Amino acid sequence: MSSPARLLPLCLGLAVGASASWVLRPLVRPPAPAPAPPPISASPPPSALRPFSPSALLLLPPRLAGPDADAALDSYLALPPLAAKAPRADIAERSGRLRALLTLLPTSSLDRLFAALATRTGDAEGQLRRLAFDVWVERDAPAAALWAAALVPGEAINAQARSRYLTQAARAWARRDFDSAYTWASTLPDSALRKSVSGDLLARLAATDPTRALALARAGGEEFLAATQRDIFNAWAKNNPSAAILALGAPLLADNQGRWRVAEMLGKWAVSDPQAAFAWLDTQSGLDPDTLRNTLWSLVNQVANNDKTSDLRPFADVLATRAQAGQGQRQLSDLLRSWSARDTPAALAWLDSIPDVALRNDLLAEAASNYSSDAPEKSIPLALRLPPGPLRDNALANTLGHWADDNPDAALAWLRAHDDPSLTAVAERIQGQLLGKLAANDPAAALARWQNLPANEARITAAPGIAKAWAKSDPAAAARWISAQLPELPNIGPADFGKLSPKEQADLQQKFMSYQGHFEVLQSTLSTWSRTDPAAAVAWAEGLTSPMLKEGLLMNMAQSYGPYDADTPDRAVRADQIAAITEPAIRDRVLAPHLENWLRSDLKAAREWIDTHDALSPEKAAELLTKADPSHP
Amino acid sequence: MIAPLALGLALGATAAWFVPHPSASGQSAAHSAPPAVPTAPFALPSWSWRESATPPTLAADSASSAIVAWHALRAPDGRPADFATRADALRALLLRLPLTSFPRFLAPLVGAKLSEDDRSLRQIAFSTWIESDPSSAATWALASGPDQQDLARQAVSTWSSRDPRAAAVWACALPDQETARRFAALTLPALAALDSTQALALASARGDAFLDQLLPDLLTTLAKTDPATALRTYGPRVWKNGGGFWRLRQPLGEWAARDPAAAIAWIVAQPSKDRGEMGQWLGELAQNNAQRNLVATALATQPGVPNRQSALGNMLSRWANQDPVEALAWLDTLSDRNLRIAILERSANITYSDHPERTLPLALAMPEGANRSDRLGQLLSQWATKDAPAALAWLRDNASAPGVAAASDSVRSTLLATIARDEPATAVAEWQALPEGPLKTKAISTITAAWGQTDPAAALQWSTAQSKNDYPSSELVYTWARKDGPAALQWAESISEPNIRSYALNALAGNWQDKAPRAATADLYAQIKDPAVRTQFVTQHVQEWQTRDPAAAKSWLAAHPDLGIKN
Repeated sequence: MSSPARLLPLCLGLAVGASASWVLRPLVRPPAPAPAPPPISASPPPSALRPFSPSALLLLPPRLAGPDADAALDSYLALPPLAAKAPRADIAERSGRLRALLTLLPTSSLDRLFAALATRTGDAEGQLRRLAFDVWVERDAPAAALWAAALVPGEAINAQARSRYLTQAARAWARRDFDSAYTWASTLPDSALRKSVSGDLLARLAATDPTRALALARAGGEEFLAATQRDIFNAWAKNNPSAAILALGAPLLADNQGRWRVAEMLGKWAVSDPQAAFAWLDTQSGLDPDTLRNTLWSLVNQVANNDKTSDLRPFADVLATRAQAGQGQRQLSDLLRSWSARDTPAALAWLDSIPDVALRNDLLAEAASNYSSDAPEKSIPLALRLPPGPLRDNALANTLGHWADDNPDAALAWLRAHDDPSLTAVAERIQGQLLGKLAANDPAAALARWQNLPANEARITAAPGIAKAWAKSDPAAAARWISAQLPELPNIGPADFGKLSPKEQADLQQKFMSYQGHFEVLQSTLSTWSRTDPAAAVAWAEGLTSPMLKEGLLMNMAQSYGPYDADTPDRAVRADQIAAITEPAIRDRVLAPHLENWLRSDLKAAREWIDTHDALSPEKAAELLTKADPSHP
Repeated sequence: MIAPLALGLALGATAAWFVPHPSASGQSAAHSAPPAVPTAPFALPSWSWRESATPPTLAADSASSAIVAWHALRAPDGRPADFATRADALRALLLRLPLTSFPRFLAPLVGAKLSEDDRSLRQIAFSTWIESDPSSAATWALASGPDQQDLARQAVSTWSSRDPRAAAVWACALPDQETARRFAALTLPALAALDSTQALALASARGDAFLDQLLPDLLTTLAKTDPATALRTYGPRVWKNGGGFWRLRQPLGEWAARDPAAAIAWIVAQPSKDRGEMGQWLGELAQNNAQRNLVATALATQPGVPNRQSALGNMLSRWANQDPVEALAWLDTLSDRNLRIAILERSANITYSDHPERTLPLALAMPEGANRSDRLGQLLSQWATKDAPAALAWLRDNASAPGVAAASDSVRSTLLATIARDEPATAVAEWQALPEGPLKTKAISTITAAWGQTDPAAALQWSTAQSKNDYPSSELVYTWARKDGPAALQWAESISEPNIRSYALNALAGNWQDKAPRAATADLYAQIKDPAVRTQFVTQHVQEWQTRDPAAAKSWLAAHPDLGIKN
């Protein structure tokens, strides 16, 4: 037989043998049956019985057994525990030893290892314990969970650490056998741990089987459901916001913290299916109006800040349909403002698709007036889309005015670049405002430029800005100057105004309409003045010839304590200041509201002031005291 | 002939026995991909723990075989080995794996679609690598694609904690600006704690924008040792670049804990949009109980603090929610009665509190007066909606305290409203049984508001029948008008008090957030029976409509000549 021929039987044998072995192997060693749920016990089946393939066996070093295992463990435990702040090298060396030991120890020895580790204190030993626990959990999560549940918190392992161990083991157990892990967690004797661990398992289950997670939460009773539903919702909504909202949105809306989460997820739903998201919200009829409104704001905010502005159009379409039916106009204008700030052409193009012209202009006006305080100029394109007239002038003046406050050069440059006669009124207002900025540093220069303004209208528009800025340094001078710019006022008091005929009232209002800013600045200036020199402020106001202006200003001074959120002045000091008003009738009318507020705030102190002062007429004093305290004689 | 055949049979059968069967469908990427070299049984070299604490490291070629064998681990039925087996084998392998072999081991475990088990196993291996060689681990993770960014962060954090200088230099030299910024933010603060000059130099080397992005974190680190200098030197730049108070809150808190007066003065000197904002910042300055006493006292006594009352009110409401006893103890140290009252009046932000009852001690510390009763009423009513028995028990226990009797009216009114939402008839019956007085009057509006959520028409009709002088909720009127405009109009017209009637008629058109279509409102107002009132409302409505859509308004007027209103 030639050489190749001699090899033929060998090759044939190789081929037949390999094929037979390949085919027969599964028959000889059938697949292992699915492992039964691990018993709820700390003693798992010995690892040697696990169905390893031969190659796995070769990769796994043999476990030590009996005395050898004990000896290896003793040898490790005989090492002195690491100091709390042991150097990193020491920790690395020890963790290397521990890792090596863990590959040798049978699972049955881990109980003894942890009995020793559980008593060791300090960060370094804590790190080693966690390292070993990771291995235990991988090998036998139920046993690790039982150990953690039996821990008594102490110096080495506090309650928080115990809870972490328990949760880690329970999670690992549940990944292999959810039912056993959950059943066990649900019977933990400590109710807080029971709720926390089983709730955590349900939240994790909810990521893959939310319906079952919810059913189990419901089966745990109302209190358990209330404690777990938010986490179930969060996990569920991550994959399927609409289903999560349909199942749990309603109860979570009643919860302060849950509400924001529902709104956030509603936003996600609304991006994919705005119609359905709003339809769901409309079914929440039991919600109080504030909650509903806040949820809507939050929803719109979510969608408006969506990464893709292309997603905004279908959402805006649904909002527009609702607004045309009289619902949610404000939310739509908010969306428009936000959209326009990110993509003006797209937002304006969409706006043109709204057939209702009045609604379109409502939206533009609202969106332009609710500009972003950081970038008011971004609202200008919206304001410019309004039809020429007071609505557009106001919107433009507001946005440009705030821009001019932050960046006057940019605002002026914009105005110069838009040489449009329809912007004249707006430009005058902005100029007035800029004169105000000048007046803050150099009132004389501002006044000189104001005198040179060409038109009377422009001077009227600019005057309040100058007075407002000037008042910061010299409120007395500012108050005198702005009051001198007012036309002659009728010789009537506030109470007389109501006695005028509707036509006379309307005529008066018309006459002073342009001076609204003057009155407002005069009021705030006098409040500022009264905080630094109340006697002079009161005396000056008392000297005004117009009864209406005099009483109006004094009344405002008594009630207003300066800008919003300013500190409330001492009530008694303020009462003393008002008591200096010489005319008894005006004094009564101005003092009464102040004292009424004081009585609400501090009944005894206010009553004592009234009892010891004669500034108020006896009738007014009695009326106030009886109203504040009906038991007052 | 027989011997070679038998030998062939034996060898072939043995070899095939150990070759894994094709994997089942649905396996992870790591297991469905064929191993790089043919699988062969691989035995880890024997090792005795008695001779050395840890096993010897594998030679490079053995490591490669071991890696292949590990990735090919199978159960006897050919399916992937179970997690515990793979983890066990992995831990044994990792003990022996040379550091240079980690990339090879991890390569099949890269990707976004790994199973949870594979992710856990990868994490075990990567954590082991990080412990010994975080810099290589970081570089590998970063080069392994966007899905490994989390791994890169883990490695860089460990590297930075061990060798902040090297980690920061590496991060700041990364070619991509955004990646460099992200990893510089992880590493530069640690370097700044060691060598602030080098940290700032590294951040500056990539330009101002890069430095501006990192400066808040650097400042936070620098402030741990010397907050005053850190904030005075770099604070204004962070503030100016849009960081503002909230970005600097932590270092400011550190400073306030050491020198509250200086920290407050520094904040007050920063630009703010309005005074309310300043009050909010100052109220948020203290971040823990230890700082609160110090900061509160400085805020109360330091001259020139704007919005002192508001800042202290903000602070106290949170403080009282967490520790009312301590908050009140501090309040009792205040000698300025006016300031004390103002703080108390501004302190109870109950709107979003899940525990309104925690703020009750603050309400009880307010002096006698209507504000105290109102505050107690608000808190107790809010509490009653969450836990009515507890709130009622509190009312019984504190019945003699000033203001509590008046507050109990609010609570009862709230409870009536709760009933009215679902059972209006019961609520109305209970309301009728109440004695005449302020409670009975007050309960009208709360019952109406709650009932109106389900039936605005019935609620408003009931409300106006009980009280002729109360303004109805414009929101309810509008809700009714949207459902049944003519009925709502008829009801509004029937109101006898002229101002309230005008208010209700106006509300038919909408409110500050919702508006009915202009034409629908015009049609509705055209049905007003009283000619003078009709003319007034149609005219003012059309005037307003003209500012929005003159053509439509004009056309509507032209279509209604019978109204006698000129354009």
